[in-house]
Amino acid sequence: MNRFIHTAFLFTFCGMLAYGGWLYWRVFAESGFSKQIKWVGHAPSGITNAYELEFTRILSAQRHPLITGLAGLKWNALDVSFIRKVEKGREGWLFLKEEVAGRNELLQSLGIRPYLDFERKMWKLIIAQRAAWTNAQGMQYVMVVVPNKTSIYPEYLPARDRVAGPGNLTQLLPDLSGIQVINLTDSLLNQKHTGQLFHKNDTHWNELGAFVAYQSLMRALPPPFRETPMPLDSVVLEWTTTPGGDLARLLLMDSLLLERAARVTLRNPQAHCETGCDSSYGPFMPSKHFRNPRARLSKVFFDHDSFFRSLIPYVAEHFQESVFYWEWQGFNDYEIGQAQPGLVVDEFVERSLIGDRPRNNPPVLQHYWQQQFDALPQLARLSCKSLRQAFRQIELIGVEAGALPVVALELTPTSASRLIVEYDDKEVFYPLEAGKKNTVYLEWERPRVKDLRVERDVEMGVAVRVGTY
Amino acid sequence: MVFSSTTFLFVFLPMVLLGHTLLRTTTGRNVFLLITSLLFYAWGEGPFVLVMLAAIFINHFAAIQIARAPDAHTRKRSLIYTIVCSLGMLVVFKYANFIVDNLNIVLQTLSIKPLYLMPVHLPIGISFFIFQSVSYVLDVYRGDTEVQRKISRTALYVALFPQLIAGPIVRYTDVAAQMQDRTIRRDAFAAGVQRFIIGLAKKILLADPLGYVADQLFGAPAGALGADAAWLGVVCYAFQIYFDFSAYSDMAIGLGRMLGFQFLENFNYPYIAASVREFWRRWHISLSTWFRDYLYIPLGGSRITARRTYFNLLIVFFLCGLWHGASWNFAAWGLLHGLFLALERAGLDRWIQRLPVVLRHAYTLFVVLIGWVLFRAEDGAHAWQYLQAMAGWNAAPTYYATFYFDPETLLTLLAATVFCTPLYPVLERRLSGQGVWVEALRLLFLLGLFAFSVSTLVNSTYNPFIYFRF
Repeated sequence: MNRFIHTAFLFTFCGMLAYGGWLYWRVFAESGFSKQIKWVGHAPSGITNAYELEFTRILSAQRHPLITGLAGLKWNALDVSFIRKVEKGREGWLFLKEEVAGRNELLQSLGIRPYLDFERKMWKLIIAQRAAWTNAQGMQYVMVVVPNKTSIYPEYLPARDRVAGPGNLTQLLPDLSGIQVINLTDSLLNQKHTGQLFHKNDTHWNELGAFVAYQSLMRALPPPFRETPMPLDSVVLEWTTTPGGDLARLLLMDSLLLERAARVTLRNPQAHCETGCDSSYGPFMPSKHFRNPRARLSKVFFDHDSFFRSLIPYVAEHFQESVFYWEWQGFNDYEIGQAQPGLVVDEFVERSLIGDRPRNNPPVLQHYWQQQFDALPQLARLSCKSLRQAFRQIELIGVEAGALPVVALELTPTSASRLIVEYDDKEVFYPLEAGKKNTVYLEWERPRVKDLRVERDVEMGVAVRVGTY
Repeated sequence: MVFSSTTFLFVFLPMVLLGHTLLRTTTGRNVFLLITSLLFYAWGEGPFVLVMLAAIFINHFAAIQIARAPDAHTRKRSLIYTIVCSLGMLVVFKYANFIVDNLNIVLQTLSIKPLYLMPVHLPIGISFFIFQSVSYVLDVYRGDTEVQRKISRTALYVALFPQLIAGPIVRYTDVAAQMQDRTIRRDAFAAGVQRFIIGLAKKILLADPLGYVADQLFGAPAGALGADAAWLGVVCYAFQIYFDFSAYSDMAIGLGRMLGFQFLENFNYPYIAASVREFWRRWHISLSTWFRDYLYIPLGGSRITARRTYFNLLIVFFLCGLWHGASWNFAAWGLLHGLFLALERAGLDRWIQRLPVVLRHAYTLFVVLIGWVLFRAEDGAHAWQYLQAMAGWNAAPTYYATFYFDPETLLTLLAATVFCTPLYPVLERRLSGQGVWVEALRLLFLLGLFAFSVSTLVNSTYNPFIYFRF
């Protein structure tokens, strides 16, 4: 009998391996992954690591019991979500937790994870560069901060999540004196009595929350762009039952977790959409262009994220021309330069101000350091025979902790070319004019700068100055 | 390739088990295992498999040279060349950047232009396979084992995939006979499967979730940690490192048994130790015995003066620390353990023995946990700040432990506390004679554990983009 049990055990184990193997190859064959195979790194494991992610993605898309079984077990038996991105709150509320490594909305909103001095300094620099570039183009710059859902509804978090400190915005905003900042947190907190402002199982505000935010924004814009917003009775407010939002989808429960959501419709819209009017949304939503000839205010450019999607119809009513450009943390100087607005609104959801920082585009960065570089404490001055040598020499310069080396490279190419800087896994290009001294400013954030070269590998001498910010 | 991956579990493992079972001769199985082991390594490390092959060639032919040497002087010279070559490879791939970085600090204080060295890739498991091959040559030199003249067998000994990248450090004498001739019995195979399942579950269900909490707290600004959060971080890390490392050994031992090998145990419930000396008899046994046999005893062991013994202990543990990684943190961790071993030898042990057993355990865990802070911290400054946080010296901490106490983490902590004691094997022994149904239930539980672990493993790579719409 014992022998039979052990044989049965071994057969079941081998059967489980065989089933796993069958699933592995079936998904491989059906997914067409073989066509996407790219050699990553120095070994074949790069391919299988990528496939393992794809394998899970496809199983979750298929709602495979291997995934949903565990999700259901943790949801029901342990009262937790099965992924770390989502915190299961009280009364059916869900909250975004750790969106990606290093960006934990919960730690931010509860004031648990303060900025390090360097992080705070870098955020201040990024915003200051954008404001300086915008102002130099003769436009006004306004930074708008949209609060995290967790900052507005912390009372629905589990009891173990309690507020510990003032939070990152309290640290950062005083540093931004001289820059127009509109923080929508207080106005949303003050308007909670008008109704539920955020979705229960989506990261975003609902349409009522968006309308309240719109009203606060219009009241807070700098003159001459400030205007009285439309009152709530100028819109039709309905409550409908909708399937679960982005957080429910992350949990693979969007068809199970329904909720009542506000629907706000303008009674008499005047603005009309000219381009990018497709109502679908996602991370790649095209820029939208609205016109309202009857409006008083001139042209505005919104560089925004997903939160402004539901604000667009209201805001567009106030401007003769409004451009909405969706880019997470981004600042598209090229589009702004093309649009030539009078006002640039740079919107950030609170959580986008932690974790990975964006790097401003070369024109914005160059403009700022052309003005500011000479005022920096100078650390080194080098004369190098090639960019490769310059790279090595710069890497060896000792910089005190918490300081950012800023490098000014002076190059004189004989023919027009481009300087290529490899930041992380991306290449950034700086045009170089022939026969004259080109000064290129680089923020040398170690170890993000990986390489430095000139297009077509033209070797040339380079003078280097290093300052510290 | 790691054991806790779907590619290993669903592709590599079935392929190896099937091929190994179908082949009938030990030679055929050895060749098959060698090929698959090299494939296993090259799958993750690509061309760096050549580093391992170089270590195999050097040590194989050096051992033959030593065995053939006509006199002691030639034998010794061959041994020294081999050790220099082997450890030289380790220095180049593991310590070159560390050495240059430290040298540059000295050069800069002397106003001499510093050296630039590109980051050198660290081939995974290099510390293990170098130590394993060096131990073989040393055993041959000391006459503890016969020299192996077939390079395929030496290569299999070094490259055998179950123990290749995270140990245990297997001695040649322990597997020489099994490479010559081995049979695979059904009960041994079943025992291997059970051990593998337990290892996989320890890694996926205990080490990884607690490692996440430890990563969060060690990744937080140390100045913002409350004492409770700092202690939680180090306790979670202690569980993580134990369950991760011992799980890997469990899986290696289990895989070895499935393939007909019998590897020695590598962990014996180290957290129940009542002194630092006992801790080292229970923790990473294959490494501590390696250092004992090939370094501590040749330095004089305990046959020399007390002072010299203490000094040797510090040297051995300093090197043991550096073996774990090229950083001063690891050296400090090793020195801390060496210091307490020396203190215990100098009389602290006698004093501790008089304490109640609870205090003896508390003392050991305290030293071990402080050691883990040094081991896990980014650098010395971070370790110091972290220790200050543990002491409650932070003025306005914002991190608190209960933030991490969701039901799942609490359950995992409870399970980790239970499974780092010998409760499970005791229970298993008690149940072993209770009839077939109890045995059937035990095996059913293990199969359920395997399914649950695999499900958790697949889910662990579920990382959807928030805007992603299925």
